[in-house]
Amino acid sequence: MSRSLSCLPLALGLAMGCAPTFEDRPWRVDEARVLAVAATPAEARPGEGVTLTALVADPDGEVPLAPQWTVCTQPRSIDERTGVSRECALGTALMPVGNPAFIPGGACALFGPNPPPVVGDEPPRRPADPDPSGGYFLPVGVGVSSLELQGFGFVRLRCDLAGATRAVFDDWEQRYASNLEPSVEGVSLLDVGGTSVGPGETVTLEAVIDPSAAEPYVVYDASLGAIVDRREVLTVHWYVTDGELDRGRQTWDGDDASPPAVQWRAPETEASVAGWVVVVDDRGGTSWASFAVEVR
Amino acid sequence: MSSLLAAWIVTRALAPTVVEEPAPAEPVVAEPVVVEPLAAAPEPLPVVAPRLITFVQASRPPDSGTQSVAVLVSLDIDAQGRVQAVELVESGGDAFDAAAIAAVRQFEFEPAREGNTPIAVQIRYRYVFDELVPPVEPELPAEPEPLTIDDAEVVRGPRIDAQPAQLELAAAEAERLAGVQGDAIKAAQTLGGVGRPAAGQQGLVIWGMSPTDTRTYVDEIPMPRAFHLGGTRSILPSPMVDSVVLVPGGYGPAYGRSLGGYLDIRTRAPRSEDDPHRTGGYARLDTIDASLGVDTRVAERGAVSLGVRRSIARQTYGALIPDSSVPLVPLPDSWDYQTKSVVQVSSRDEIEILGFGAHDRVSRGIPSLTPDTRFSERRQAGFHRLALRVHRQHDSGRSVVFTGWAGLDDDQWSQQFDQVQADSSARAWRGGLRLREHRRLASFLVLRWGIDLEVDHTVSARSGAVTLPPHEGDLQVFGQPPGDRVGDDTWTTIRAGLGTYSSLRFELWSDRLTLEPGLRLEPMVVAGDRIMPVRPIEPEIGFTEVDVAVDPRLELGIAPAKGWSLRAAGGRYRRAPDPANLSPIFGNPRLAPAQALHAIVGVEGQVTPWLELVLTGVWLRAYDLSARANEPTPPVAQALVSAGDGRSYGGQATARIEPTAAVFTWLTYAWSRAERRDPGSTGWRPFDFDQTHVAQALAGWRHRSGVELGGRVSLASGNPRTPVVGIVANARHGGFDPIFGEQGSERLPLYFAASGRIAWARSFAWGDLRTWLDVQNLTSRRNAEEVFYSSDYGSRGYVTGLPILPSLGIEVRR
Repeated sequence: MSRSLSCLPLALGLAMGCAPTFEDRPWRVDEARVLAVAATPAEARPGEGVTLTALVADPDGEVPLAPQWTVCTQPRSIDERTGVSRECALGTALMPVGNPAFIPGGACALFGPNPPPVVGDEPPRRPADPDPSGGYFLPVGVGVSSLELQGFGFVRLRCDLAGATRAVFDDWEQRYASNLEPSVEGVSLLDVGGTSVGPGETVTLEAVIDPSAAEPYVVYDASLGAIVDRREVLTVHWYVTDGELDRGRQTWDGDDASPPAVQWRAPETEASVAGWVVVVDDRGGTSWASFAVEVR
Repeated sequence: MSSLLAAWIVTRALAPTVVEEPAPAEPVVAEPVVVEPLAAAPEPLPVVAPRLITFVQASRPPDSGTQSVAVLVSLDIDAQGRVQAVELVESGGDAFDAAAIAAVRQFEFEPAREGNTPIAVQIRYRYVFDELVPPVEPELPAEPEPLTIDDAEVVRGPRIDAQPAQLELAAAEAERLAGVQGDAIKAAQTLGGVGRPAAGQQGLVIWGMSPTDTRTYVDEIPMPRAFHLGGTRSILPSPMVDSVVLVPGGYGPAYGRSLGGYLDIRTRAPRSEDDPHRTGGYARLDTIDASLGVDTRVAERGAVSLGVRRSIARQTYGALIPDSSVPLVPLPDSWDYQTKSVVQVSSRDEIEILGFGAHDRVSRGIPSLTPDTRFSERRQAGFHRLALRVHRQHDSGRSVVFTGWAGLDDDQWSQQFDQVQADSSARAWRGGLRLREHRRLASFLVLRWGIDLEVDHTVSARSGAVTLPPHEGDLQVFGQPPGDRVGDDTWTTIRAGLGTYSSLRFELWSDRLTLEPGLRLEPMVVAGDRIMPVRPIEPEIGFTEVDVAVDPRLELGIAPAKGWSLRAAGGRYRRAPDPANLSPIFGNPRLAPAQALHAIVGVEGQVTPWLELVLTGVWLRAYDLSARANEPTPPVAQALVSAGDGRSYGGQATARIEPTAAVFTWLTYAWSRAERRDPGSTGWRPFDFDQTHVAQALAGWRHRSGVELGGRVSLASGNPRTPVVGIVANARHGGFDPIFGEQGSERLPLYFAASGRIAWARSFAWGDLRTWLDVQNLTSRRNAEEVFYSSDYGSRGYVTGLPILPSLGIEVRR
């Protein structure tokens, strides 16, 4: 990732000044990193088992490994903007789990809509807040000690609807379908034959995704006290070990006529470039596909 | 520019220097000038005293005997030579007091001057009813005698009823300070105890208290803020402002509902009847905005002024911004209006009708070379105020002021970071009544009491990220996504506070010792529509919280020697919870009022005729501040708790140097620490706005040709920030989350800015012309305003503000 610094005008109020703009390349895999974590099934109830898979890559490509899996045991405080609490990020509130991993029995009370346990005469405690899809997630840690890597994935919890009337509860139980992983069939290189491109050449990378991957689902709107129909939007993340992408992230709702695609400019020198497309749906389902390009 | 110093009033809370004037009258006769040198008098400065040009004879009360009677009064004379206030100092009996006061209120003076600049002064005047020789002849109108007032005895600012540590700037001088771009109210940022404002900051950080803890009043009417969004402009154009008063703390019981100080903006009176032009106005244009105002006399006793202003920054600075950056640059779109009508109902009654309003719309983004990390923010906010004020000056010397007002505040705000959005809105109807009376009970005792009622009804709505808007003390970095947790709530809040207050001011030892204990008693009611989050399976339950504040206040002043004074003030202060924090989902409906204790001591001395020193020490302690609950699963509807602590302490030294009447220099250095202690924590951390060192030098020179030069140099410690010491990958959004180090353990770099101003003013037969060039940040230093990280937190830089920024303006007034 480039560290060079440039400057764009910025005004805070009328105080026109300057903000640093890094030549950020979030899509560039220039060191070992966790790109994705998937759970199968993509949504599970407490006590159910899920199979966890991590996509870890470095500049040489995907790293085959058997990571250490943990689950976070400390929810975030309200002001924490991060995916996990500070305690979990520091590794002080992690519990090792196997793979397949079983969702802890109290997950819906600690990370879900059920009231957290109280001691004695304590007042009822605040349940977790949902994400925009109305979902709740169990943070799952993936550690690779040999690479000193730490990352977190999130398994969507299938919890009972809390705070709704009986009729709404029954309706939701009937209509809500657990999330499925979005299927990614692969990546196509348009405008070129095969998987070879010339140095500096720009090609279009297109993700081949089944439009049905953007599933319909229902979400409970607490302010309305009613169930609302939604359809997933897919977030497509692109990663490459070399070259330049015009963007690293885009969204796709399945109805778009054109599949998600990005422009990739090959490096100026001959190289073997690895790449991945990671698709995450609104409800946290994750899948990915890899591709390789020879630059010569 | 020497009048600038004269206009900057540092209240000593002690007896002001006074002068007694003879009053000619028949049968009232003038008594020789008697000067009473009092302790707190500054050394004589070259001031041309006011001259009485219209004398009004008092009628001797019937059946009042034939003896000679004297009544000593204190007169506040404004820069137009009008008598603004009369206070009885020594009584000659109720009937004589009333007659004398009624007469002197109609006096007119040629205003006191410092150089060529009219200034407001306070003098004492002894009205003498001479002994009658029977038979009594019909009273004859008396001719005014030319009067002279010893320059040395003109009170150059201090008012007997001012607050300790009060700082006042006359607008006519304040707008001439370098770096304020012609904005008189913005000059408050240069006053002692005020922290260096961050770019975009709309409030004042006074002695380490939150910007929301300093209230803003315009003619005693509360305003939601002193500055337009972005902080570049204040809410009133300078031609509509008479003076700006900043009380940083330790104030008396007349004010409350804030933990910090307050800013009182006093508007300029419309045209007086002795103005040579019955109608006038101003037109003002600079690179930030354009404003226009008119004021005119209406009939015999009335006057009306009206002003409007519109930002033009989009047309000026916007043209300098590259097209690619236009969406990223939040040039505010602002307008405001002001109107003030005055009717002199009688010699002692005056009615004012005031209207104010402002509206802002601004959007901004954080620049990124990639579309992955884009951030955008939009906000629009406005307010309106309508008020009625009645002044009555009783014959006995009592003064009563009634203020009634109503208004509407509207604020809408939205943020979007990629796919995460947060929206917030609040619409508040507000109103209030204020009644205050000032009565002298004895020659050494003044009673002040009043009623201060405020009510607001706020409907708030918020949806989106629960972490937004950020709360003081939140761990975050500039531009960090708000997280994936969302909430949704709409709530209604009603707050009402009925403050009653009184104080007794003892003036002892020839006014060398003043002591004013006071008490503010204020029942506060906070009611809301829901105490718990909406759940269809449960009934909605509202709430009503009642708190009765009993807040003692005390002011003490001692003048041990001529030109020197010691002052001390303190008390307890209380603020009702902010409606924005009373959501059962985003806040806590049962937040308690926050409290603060203030203790301020000061020494002020006129070391030489051209050097004045002021030393001030401050200690503030705040309790029950609203703060984030320090647990991952707090009780329901308690995302915020009233368990935060705060403390500020420090001192300031100011030297005001005026070697000649045309030159002034202020040197100020303040050292302070402002800290907070979060719920559940045992240690103190730096307050987000803490600035340990703030130093400032201001200088000005005014030539008789109308040319003015000014300069300002500011140094300030950078605000605390929390470093990022590690990262973890977040597979859901494909990026990284920061791991923070010790909170507030690093600071932004030292702030330094130099500003300059050159201006020229001239009077013509048709009016006055002024033009100026104000240049902020002359060295174009890139002062850090925020730390900005790359997406992997591997690189960081600073968001900088304000490169060299010239502002060219021109104004015509008549």
